[in-house]
Amino acid sequence: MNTPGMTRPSWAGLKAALGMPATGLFCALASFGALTEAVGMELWVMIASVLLIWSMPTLMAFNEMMVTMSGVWAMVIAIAFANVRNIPMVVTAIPMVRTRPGIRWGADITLAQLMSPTTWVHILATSDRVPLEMRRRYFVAFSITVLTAALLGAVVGYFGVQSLPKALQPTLLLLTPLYLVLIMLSVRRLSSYLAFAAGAVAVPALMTWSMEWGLAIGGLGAGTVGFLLAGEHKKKAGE
Amino acid sequence: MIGEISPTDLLVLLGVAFAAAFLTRLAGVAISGHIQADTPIFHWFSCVGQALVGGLMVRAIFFPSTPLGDTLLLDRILAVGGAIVVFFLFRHRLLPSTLAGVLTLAALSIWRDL
Repeated sequence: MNTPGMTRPSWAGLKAALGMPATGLFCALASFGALTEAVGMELWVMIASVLLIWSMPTLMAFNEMMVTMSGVWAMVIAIAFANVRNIPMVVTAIPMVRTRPGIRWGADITLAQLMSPTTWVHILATSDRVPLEMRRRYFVAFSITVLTAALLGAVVGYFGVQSLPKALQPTLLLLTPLYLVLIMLSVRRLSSYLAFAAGAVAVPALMTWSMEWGLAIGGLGAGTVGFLLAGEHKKKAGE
Repeated sequence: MIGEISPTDLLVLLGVAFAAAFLTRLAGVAISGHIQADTPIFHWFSCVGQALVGGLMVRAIFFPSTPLGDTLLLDRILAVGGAIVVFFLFRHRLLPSTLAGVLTLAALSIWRDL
């Protein structure tokens, strides 16, 4: 990755995304493409859903709702809950790329719409290596690159993942979650480690009770526990 | 099956799904306008994000609802453990550590499939 001497942030963002981030999402969406083909979703609906929804848990919820032919309100509730995680991601990512106070609706919504956990974790982990005035272009290029890779993966999966050996197909699904867990371990802040550890226990446990409420309550509770245990509430801004 | 839904209904469902997903992103942008980086409230949101995304990823690995669940839990534990060991041995380098984890699981899956 380029550092403070960076002159072409879009190119640098593209290069940073190529490799593990793009490969991970390519494989993850290949499995989604294969899944949608198996349940009879048309190709254009699959592509449109990836582009419009762009969030793996939400895409899975959308697929599930389509298969079970649940009602419109059930879909709204399921998708809104599956997307709860977008709120803290967007709230913390936008201020890291902002060069002046206040909301720039067009630019901020564009980055928010392109936001995925992969982009978000990269913003948290690598922002300090990208000059502030270049961050937005850098991370937009990064996001578009991983979205393109994901879309390609979805189409490849739709048409061809079944041709892989059966034993290998599931292993591709480990790539993205493992990569994100490792990159989250790269964010060296005590509160992040504690929140991650608490979330790793609380969220899966509570989601066995309720998929939607378990995610929301587990995330809020575990995040707050990590925040308080690390003493973040006693620190002043900038510490 | 999905094929039984009419194209009009498909468009409506896609639109509804997009609107529901977009609203949460819009809410994030609106809230972000009142928050500055490196303040306590920023770090609280960051912690909630870490807990949510971390919890979802741990669930995706150890309690998956995808075909990853077809592999043995023990193999997934060994793969993730191996990846974490490589991660710390190679000074937090993501590529070798992620590959180590995935290749470990692939090797174990092929071995068990023999």
